[in-house]
Amino acid sequence: MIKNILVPVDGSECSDRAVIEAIAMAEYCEAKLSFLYVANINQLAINAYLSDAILDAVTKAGKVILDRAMETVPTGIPKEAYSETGAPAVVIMDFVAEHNPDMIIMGSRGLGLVKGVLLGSVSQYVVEQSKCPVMVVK
Amino acid sequence: MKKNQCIVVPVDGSETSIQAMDTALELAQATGAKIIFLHAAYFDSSTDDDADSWLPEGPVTESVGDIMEDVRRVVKERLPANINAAFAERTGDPATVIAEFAAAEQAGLIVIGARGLSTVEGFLLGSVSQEVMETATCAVLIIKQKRQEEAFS
Ligand SMILES: Nc1ncnc2c1ncn2[C@@H]1O[C@H](COP(=O)(O)OP(=O)(O)OP(=O)(O)O)[C@@H](O)[C@H]1O
Ligand SMILES: [Mg+2]
Repeated sequence: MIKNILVPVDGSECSDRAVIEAIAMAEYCEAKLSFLYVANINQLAINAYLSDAILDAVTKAGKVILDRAMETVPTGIPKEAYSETGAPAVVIMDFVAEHNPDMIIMGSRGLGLVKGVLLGSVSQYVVEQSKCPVMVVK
Repeated sequence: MKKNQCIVVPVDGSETSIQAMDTALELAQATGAKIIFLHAAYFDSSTDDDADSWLPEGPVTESVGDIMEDVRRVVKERLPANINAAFAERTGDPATVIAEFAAAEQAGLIVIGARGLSTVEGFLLGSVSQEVMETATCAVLIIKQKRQEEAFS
């Protein structure tokens, strides 16, 4: 039975479509939705040293993305929002290990701009590592 | 996935594809969607029956008909009465066939096993699963082989 659905969100169009699919699935299965945003600190740390201001800005951006996902969910469907920091793929799998979702629903692409890539690196990693079913949304 | 959309389940007779079948049945029950089980093979049964076949013995040479017969049997055993299921067989490159079939049927979802029959070490995903995930125009649900003892309580 699918009772807990994890939806990693990055604010991209694909991730928005994953939110829609996840809501439909939660309605069909009477499942709970957990939205997870990972602030990609590793990427930022490459050229900037992490001031509180940067951390603050990234966290705020994440809050906007999570709020938008949460607002899309019709009343009656249980939902939760989580914000974490780190390398998205790794943090998502750590979250999975801790919360044991029955299904993961995520976008096939994200915010990455590399053209010609059909599947983003975060999706690829999660599909490879996850033991529970992963739905990749186009 | 919308209520009137179907679920396509590619089957190759592997253990993982049986598990994909089970998950698809569960989803069909929850959504009321119709399931189409699809077997794609490079060769049709007439090619397989060829006595001069250069293919080695093994699952690869099993004819489409044999695999679909197994699938029909398993589905019959497990299919809840209220679920609508159909069976389809196509010849061609499996990943292409699967993606095109799903598009033609306007499927809402493809449910596919992460690995198939070939057991090349070092890959977490089979080449067909990988290509379907990349090229399908609808959502793709990837199923891993479950270990029985992994039940959480
Ligand atoms: N920082 C993140 N936090 C939460 N979920 C994420 C994050 N980044 C990506 N995702 C999830 O993964 C999906 C695919 O995004 P991914 O990052 O793999 O693709 P991409 O950005 O196009 O490629 P890449 O990042 O490899 O350049 C997104 O739709 C989203 O569901
Ligand atoms: Mg990305």
